[in-house]
Amino acid sequence: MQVWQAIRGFSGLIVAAIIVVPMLSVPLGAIVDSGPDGSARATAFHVALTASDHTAREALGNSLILATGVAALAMLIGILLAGFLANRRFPGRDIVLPFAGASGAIPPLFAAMGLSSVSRFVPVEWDTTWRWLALVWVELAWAVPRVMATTILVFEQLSPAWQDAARLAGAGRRRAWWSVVWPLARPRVAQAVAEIFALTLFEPGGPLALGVRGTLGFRIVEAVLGIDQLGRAAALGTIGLALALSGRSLILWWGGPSWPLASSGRSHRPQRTSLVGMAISICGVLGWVIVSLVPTIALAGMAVGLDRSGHLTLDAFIGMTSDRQTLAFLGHGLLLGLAATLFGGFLALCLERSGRDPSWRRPSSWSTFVPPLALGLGAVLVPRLLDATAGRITSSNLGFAQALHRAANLLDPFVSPWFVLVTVLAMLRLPALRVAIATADAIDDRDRLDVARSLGASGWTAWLDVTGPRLAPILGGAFAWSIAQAALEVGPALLLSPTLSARSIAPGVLTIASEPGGSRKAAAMAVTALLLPIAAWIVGGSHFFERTHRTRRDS
Amino acid sequence: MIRVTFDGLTKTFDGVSAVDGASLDVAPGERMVILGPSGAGKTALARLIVGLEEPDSGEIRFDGRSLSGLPVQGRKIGYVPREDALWPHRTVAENVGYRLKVQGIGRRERRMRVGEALGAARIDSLADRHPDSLTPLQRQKVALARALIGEPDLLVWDEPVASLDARHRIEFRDEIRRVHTEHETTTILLTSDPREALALADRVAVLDFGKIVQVGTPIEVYNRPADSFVAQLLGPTNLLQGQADSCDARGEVVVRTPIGRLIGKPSGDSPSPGTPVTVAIRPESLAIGPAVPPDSNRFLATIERQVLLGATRQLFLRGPNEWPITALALQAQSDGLRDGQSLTVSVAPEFVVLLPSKAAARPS
Repeated sequence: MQVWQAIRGFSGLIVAAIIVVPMLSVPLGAIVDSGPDGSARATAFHVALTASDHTAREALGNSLILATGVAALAMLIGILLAGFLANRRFPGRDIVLPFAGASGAIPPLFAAMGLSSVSRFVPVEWDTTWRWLALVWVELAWAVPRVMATTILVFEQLSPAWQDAARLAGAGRRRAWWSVVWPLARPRVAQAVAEIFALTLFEPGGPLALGVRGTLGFRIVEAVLGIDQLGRAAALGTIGLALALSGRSLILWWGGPSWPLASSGRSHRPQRTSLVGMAISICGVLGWVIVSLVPTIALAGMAVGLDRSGHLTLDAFIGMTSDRQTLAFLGHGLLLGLAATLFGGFLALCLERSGRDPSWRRPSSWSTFVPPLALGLGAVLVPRLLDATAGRITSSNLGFAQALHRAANLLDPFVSPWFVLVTVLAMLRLPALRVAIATADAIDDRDRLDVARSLGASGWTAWLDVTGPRLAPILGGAFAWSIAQAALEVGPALLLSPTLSARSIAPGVLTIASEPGGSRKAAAMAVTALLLPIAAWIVGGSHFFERTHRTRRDS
Repeated sequence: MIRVTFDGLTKTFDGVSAVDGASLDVAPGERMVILGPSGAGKTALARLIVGLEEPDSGEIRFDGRSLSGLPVQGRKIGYVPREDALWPHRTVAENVGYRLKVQGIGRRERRMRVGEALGAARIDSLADRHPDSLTPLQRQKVALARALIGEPDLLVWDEPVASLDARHRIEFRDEIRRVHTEHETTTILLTSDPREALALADRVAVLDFGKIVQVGTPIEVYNRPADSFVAQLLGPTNLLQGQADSCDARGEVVVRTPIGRLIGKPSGDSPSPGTPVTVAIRPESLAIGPAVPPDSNRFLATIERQVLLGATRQLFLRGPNEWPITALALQAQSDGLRDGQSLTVSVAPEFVVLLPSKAAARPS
């Protein structure tokens, strides 16, 4: 009991340490390495080498342009689509809404695999330009739904009376939008855009699948998985993190402070529109649905058929996915998602029940500041730094040095890959899980339970009948989404599961794809893995996708 | 000051008629209160008047000029919606000064005029605060200052005191009167609260299912309701189903009711003998006790129970034929009354209002 209380009480500090230590390791890893005797030494070598390396500079520049472009385009398209979907009434709106956001649940790695398969049918040379265009496409397909979901939520919380008041004061529709709607939406949209910027800057999946080497994500993964290039990875990571945090701060500064919106979206109703407006809305949304899902459809096409001979290969698909190696990768992914969600959920529960003031829960949202790949890189660097530190103090304090060695061993992904990976993924899922638990905690059913008990129900039956149905969609949905997203996470899984036997879905797909003739099998595995977000969708409903994103913003 | 006329206004949302041929004429500088229950179409009517919705048919005229096709920003109307609609991202001064900014008025003049508007509403100390830090009363005052800064020809309020507690409602009613007196603006208030309507109106228009069913001074509408709906909307009333018996030269009609023959006055035309009518009697019109004024209606009743309401006491009576009757008596005059006691109840003919018949269900 005392241990439980201690964990609860210090859960904020524990979470802060788990996030801060790897984050600090990235810049430290760039300026500290092991000397010839194995002890730590300060060095500018890696930073200087990276700074003078034109491929590194090119990767940073390319990723910066890519992230800025994707963030800006995602914002424009996302707001436009949100305007169509939230404010205009047109036939089939409710049906098309989930499809418009579906591509947000598909990792760019999978979408890029699908899009690269299309190249076989396109009579043009699949050169660098096309690869870059494909990368922008898959990044947008993943990023736009984030802005769209956030903006729809904001629009639904804007009181229609605010715009009416502006129009009554003499403003036209456009001016009313710019002076009332946009200033209120901008801070929340900026949060989504800032996250997209940071994630795209470090995105490894799309570039790896498309073979776009000149990106930060590609170079970091290449350096970490290469021989003795951790210093270079750390230097790239440090510069990338500086860019990500600066860009994020700049975007949030541009967004400005958040203002309280209307307490509920009850008064919000999509408005009737003219025939032309309706046609534009339908074409816009349908166009987006088609464009965003083309890569996924192509992936499915590659997995189940539509080859040059036109034969359906469903049997082959089943054969490929029931292969032992594929099943192992999928199983690892599922277990990983489950473990990360349980650990994250436990920490979230500790934070919520810590009994301390809300500032202690703040570290739970810190993981939203850092891209997953950077967190994974930090986790890779921690054991190396511990080892180097131990080498430095061996002579003065042998016991402490041995403890550091043991800790380094424990945190070494080669020795215990899952331990570190689960921890990193748990940190990434923590913000959404904490908000789900806080929402569930906020349900005050005491009166309803009392009534149920006064009508003859036992305490347990009353809970099952009254509170259970209200909690199930909140917690069930949040946990299902968390499992799916952790299982499909690309960056940390690539860096922290170096051994073949420990690989989960994303590295497994890349492993299979790199084998001769393995692209179809990899596609089949990726399509099977997409059952996870579909299952999460069924369990939690579409609003959990939105809730997850909203809560990440709000937290 | 302008005359506002709307004629046959109709608006349908998704096949549901919100405003159904509403017509009304508001005199220049008049304070017109449109009273109706929830769902009567008040907000829809307000939005039509201010131009936020276009009517399906009908017309709104300011001093005889039609507003058809004139966009909302082209009408000089101050509108205070039910929710105050203050923009959360703007300070009080920015909220109030927005109209001036849209008009392209310079910063210095804007600041001066906003200062004056805030001073007039006695909220100048709130200028730099954001709406979320204000009390509901302060928010209403800011919304009012924002509506008034453009010196509107017409001021429209939708449920102005609905968000306020009882004490602040009284204070804000005074504010409404003060603003109306100082600005002499034609004013339309929409409310579902009969007390607010009676307290604020020069004239009251009663709205039911999107139709204006009665227009008159507060005292006319309260004492001479057009039908049983208006009678009940304005306050508690005893309704009895009866049949007109005879009519005299003074316009008084004898009606046969479950509690006996009553002499009353019709709200409109005199019903011909044999016509079914509904009789409405306000509880406070019933006099309790043996002293019966001459020419008054009278009947015997038994006290079933009493409810003390502070200054008054509500008496639940059983009249002839066990018909339930509610009366209201001053506390001091009803102290000695006991449950089960029989007494004489009287009511003057002018307080017995004969309405067009709608089946008056026997109250339980």
